[in-house]
Order: sequence, then C-alpha cells, then structure tokens
Amino acid sequence: MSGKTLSLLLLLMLAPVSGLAQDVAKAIPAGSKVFVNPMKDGFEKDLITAFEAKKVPLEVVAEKEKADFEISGTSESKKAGVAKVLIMGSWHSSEQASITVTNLKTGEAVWAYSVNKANSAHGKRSTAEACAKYLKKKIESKK
Amino acid sequence: MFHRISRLLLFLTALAAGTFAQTTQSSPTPAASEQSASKPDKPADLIDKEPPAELSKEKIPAGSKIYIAPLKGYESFLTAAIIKKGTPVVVVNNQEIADYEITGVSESHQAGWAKMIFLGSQQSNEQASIVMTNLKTGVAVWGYNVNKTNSYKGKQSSSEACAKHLKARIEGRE
Repeated sequence: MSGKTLSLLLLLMLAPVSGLAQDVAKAIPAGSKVFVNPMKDGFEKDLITAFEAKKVPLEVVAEKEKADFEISGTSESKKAGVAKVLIMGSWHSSEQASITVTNLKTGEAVWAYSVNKANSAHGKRSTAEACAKYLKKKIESKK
Repeated sequence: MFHRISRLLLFLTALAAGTFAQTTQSSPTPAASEQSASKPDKPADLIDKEPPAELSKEKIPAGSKIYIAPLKGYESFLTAAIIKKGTPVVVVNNQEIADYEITGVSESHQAGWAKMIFLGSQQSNEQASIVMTNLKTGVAVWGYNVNKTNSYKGKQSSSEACAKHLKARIEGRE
C-alpha cells in the first residue's frame, strides 16, 4: 500500500515537471539570436524593421549558423483596384502574411502567426508590425 | 399502302429487338461474370482486389512529428493554424525526423468588380487540399479539402479549417 502511495506521489510530483519541460522547449528566451530567411517581396526587411519598432527582445543575425531560431514565412499584397476604390470606397491594400519561428537545435516550430488585413493602413508595415507585436507577447509570456 | 406500313412496322420491330439484344449482352448474368472471373488468360494487372476493410483508418498518435512540404507559402499559414488550433502534433522543418508529411495545394481568387457590385463582397475565394502521408509506410492516412467562396481571412481561414479537422481526426472525432 505504501509503495503504491509513494509511486502516486512521485507521479504527481513529476507531472508538473514534465509539463514545465514542454513549456521550456516551446519557449523563446529573450535575447535569442534569430535568423530571418528571405521572404517573398522582401518581407524580411519589413519584419526586421518591425522588430525594432516594437522593441522585440531578439537579436537578428545575418548568418544562420550563429542563430538559435530561424524565422521563415510568406507575405502577399494586393493593391486596391478601381472597383475597390469606387465601390468599397477604400484605397488601402489587402495584405496577408504568415511567419513561423523554428528552433534550429530541435527543428521544431515553436511559434507561428498569420495575419490578414483587408484594408491595411500601411501596407506590409502593418502586417509586419502585427507579427512583431504577437512575437513579443510570446517571448514575454515565457511559455 | 398497307404493304408499306407493314414493312415499316416489321423493320421497327427488328430494330427494337436488335437494340434489346445488345443491351442484354452488355450486362452479363452472374454466372457469366463468374466464368469470366475464372478465366486464366486475364492480364495480371486486371485482377480484382478487395479494397482494404479499414481504409485510411490508421490512428494518428498525438505528438507525432509532421513535416509540411513547401506549398508556395501556404505551409507557413498551415503551421500557424496548427499551433493556433492546438492540434496535438509537432511541426518540424526536416523530413528525416518526421513521422508524417503533409503535401497539398492551395488557390486564391481575389474578388472581382462583379462580385463587389452584385454581392457587395470583397472577400477572396479560397480553396486548399492537403494530404497527410505516413513516411514509414507511404500510406496516405488523412486528407482534407476546403473551399470558401467568401473567405473572411483569406488563406488563414482555409488553413485553420484544415488544422481543425486534423485535430478532430487525431482526437478520433472524425
């Protein structure tokens, strides 16, 4: 009986540790080195600028070998056509982007985010800043 | 006059009989089909095989490692959707360490002027199709198609539909 109780207690003690280990594996520590892969239409430049604007606590490196994480993704942009301007009364572009942060040691995708703006006030800058804002939240959550 | 009519009727009767005979020949009786199945001169590649009883019912274990093949940028949306929807899989960037692979295709059509005028919608038309393959056995274990004529969030909506249904499949709800 005491053996069973001891096993149960050990299991209960180890369960949170296991969960914590999983959280740590998915966490992006502040100050990590990231490599931003080239993306369609030069979206990587908008993203790096947005990291600075939003004060994302990451260090962007130019060489993938020196990085802890890599960011890959894509972005699509469509300028407002005549129909949209005349019928919808909007001249803002339609933007969508998606980025994925991958841990280069484990090869696992630790975080990813998609954004879609039908009327983007500042074009790619808006989508890049949305990505940066949510990445900062993820880093600060330490999960 | 009477002879002509009777000849015409005779001709029509013969034509109908011929057509009926052709129709009945094209649908063989069970006995005939059994005989044809037992013919030894049938080519090897035409041997009838029973479909597997449990088609695509392979269980996808939670925590499996999945590699998403490049899908012209859609793979990034799919990864984001998998994480957002809490699909219990681990997305990896290397096929060699993965258990499953996702391949597929996606298409987008922006709303034209006609859609804006008549339907008052500027939302795009999205469709995507993905297939998940077990890399050890090479068997396609799951597939899903999505078509959204007025996609609220473009590719994000279609990818989230795929992720939601993959989650349901893993959890055994589909």
